[in-house]
Amino acid sequence: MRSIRRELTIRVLSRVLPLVLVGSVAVYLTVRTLVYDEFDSALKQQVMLLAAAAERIEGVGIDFDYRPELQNAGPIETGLDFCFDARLSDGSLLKQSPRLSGRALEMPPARTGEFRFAAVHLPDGELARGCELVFEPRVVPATEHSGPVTRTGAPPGPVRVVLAASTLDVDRPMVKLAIAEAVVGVLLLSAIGMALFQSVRHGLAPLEGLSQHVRRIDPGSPAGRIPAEGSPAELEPIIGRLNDLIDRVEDALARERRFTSNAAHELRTPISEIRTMAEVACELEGPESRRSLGEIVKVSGEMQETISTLLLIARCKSGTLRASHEAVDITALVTECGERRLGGGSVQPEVSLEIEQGIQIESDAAMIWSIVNNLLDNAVDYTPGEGRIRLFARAKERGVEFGVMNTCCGITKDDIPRMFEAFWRKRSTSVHGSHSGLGLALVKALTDSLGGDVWAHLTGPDELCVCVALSKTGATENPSQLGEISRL
Amino acid sequence: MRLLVVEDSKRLRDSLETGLRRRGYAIDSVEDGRRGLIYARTTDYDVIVLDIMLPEMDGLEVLRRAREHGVETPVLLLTARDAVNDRVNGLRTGADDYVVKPFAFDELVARIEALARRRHGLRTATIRVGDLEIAPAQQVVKRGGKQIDLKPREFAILEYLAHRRGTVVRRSELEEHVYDQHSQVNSNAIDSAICILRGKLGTGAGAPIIQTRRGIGYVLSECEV
Repeated sequence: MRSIRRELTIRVLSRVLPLVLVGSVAVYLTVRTLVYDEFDSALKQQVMLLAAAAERIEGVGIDFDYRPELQNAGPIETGLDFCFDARLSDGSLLKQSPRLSGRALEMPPARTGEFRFAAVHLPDGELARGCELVFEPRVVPATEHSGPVTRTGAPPGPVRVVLAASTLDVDRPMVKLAIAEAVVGVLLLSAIGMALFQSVRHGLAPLEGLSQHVRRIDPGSPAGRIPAEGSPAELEPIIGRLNDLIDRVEDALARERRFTSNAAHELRTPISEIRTMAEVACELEGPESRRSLGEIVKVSGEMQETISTLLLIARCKSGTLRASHEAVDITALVTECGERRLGGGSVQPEVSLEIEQGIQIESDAAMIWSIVNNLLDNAVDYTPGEGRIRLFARAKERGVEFGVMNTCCGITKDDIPRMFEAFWRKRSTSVHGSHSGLGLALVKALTDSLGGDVWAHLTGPDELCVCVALSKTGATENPSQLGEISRL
Repeated sequence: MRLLVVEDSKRLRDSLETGLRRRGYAIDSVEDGRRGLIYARTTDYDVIVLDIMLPEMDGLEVLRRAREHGVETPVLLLTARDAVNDRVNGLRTGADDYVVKPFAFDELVARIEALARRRHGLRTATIRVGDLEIAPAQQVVKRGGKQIDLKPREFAILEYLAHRRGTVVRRSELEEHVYDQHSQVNSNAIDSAICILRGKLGTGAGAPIIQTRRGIGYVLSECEV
């Protein structure tokens, strides 16, 4: 499993390591360059001394009055052990250090007047650094020179001088420096790694805390919320959203429990009626027995309708039932539903129609018919005899709104969110009768299938309005199963 | 015996009424909790059969208030909710028994009989007074092993007196426990029934006696007291 802590630590260390390496190498190279610059400077000074010691005596030869014992005297002190090799233009030896034993110091040739530095090998194989200079010796008239001349009859041309000194005393400290840098680098990386690990752990502690809280939540019965106080700003949106989701899960589980409990209750009551009536009917004779059996048949029919409605709701919610897409005259449809209830004015409660003319949308006529009828059934069941019911339909900018307003008693704001749950009834009762408690749940399921919206609100202390809104185009793909939906 | 049935389902209420009446019970039935509470407080029933999901006032509230007002009648709860906490809640509120719908009618009757026996301090299903044996479940009366035919009302009176044997039972109490709200009771109905009962039970040594306590009521005992 991935670990943020581990990945972060590795990622940072992998970026720090090259930096430490590059830094170490840079320090080493810088120190080496500086040391060798000093070394070269000392070599150059000695080469200049060598050059100054050479004179061309006119008509005689070249005198090379270089005395090595003076190399550490005077203003220049190097402490280095030099050896030199001076040659004429024809390559013949002019003078060299005894240590070289007649062998030349091999270096790439330099241009006249130019100092060239390079690594050379001494005759005993020791590694040294050499400085080469090709120069024209100072010309001195014969009359101004006295004493012997180092080389008489020297050919004209420049003199080549190579001065070399062992780099052992420089290389050894450089090696030690490299080792020290490596050790320090490793220690530094280790220290950085530990500090980083601690810092990351501390920094991720809120995340770990959040993780602990979430692990303690029981999916089956979420209780309690994740505390947001003291959390970092980066985690606040996550905690807020998690708490929202927990609220939703809790609500959903509560609804599921209510539904299961209600469904069991709603189905057991008619079954109980059937059973008791059947058992008593077995003891009866004649008309009484027939009456009981007739009631049993009615109850069976009501149970069948309840189960059919439940199945239809389930199909709507699962998307199995698809709405058709046809031209629907809302005005005509809603009017027809309403007129069936008017009954010539003798029907209680009073039903009135407030339907705008010419409302047309594209939708599923059978589903809308079922919605309107269920709304009316619900209103008729729950409106007291002296109350009234208003069936309305009106065009809106993007579609249509239709619904029912009816006189009701005892409905409160707290009831509104639960009205569309299956089997919800205002009255605490086990009466089954012709009202299954599924009407508004079916209205919601069908409206959702049509891509619409349904809501309820109190328009007054004793008036409830249930409204359905559908768009002009509706939701569609395949024709609906008319036989299943119609006239529920 | 007289029962109160509080059940809002008309079909179930009617079926229970019919079936229980055929078993010799006097039945009062109501459809909502408020009326059920009124009936429970104003009449001394032998057993109350109480649905939980009722309009006006739910069954548990009816039970709670009845118990608060001193109603000690055994209560059998009827409900479709069978969760453990529902049953526990009902029993703790004061119910004596609990039946989950759907139920077998015979089981309901058996539980009602058990509650009635408990109310009258009986432990067996058969009531014995002298050589008289009364089996309420079978509606059978025997004396000395020989069955005696009694009409339902006669059986109900004898059964109630047997439950209260040795205790003087007022005429009004007998009326209350033997007749329901639908019965048309003549003023001397009880007296007539007692007279017939005495005749059917017979006389002789060992025969239980229904004695009259003038101005008070009747008492059933094994011998003359």
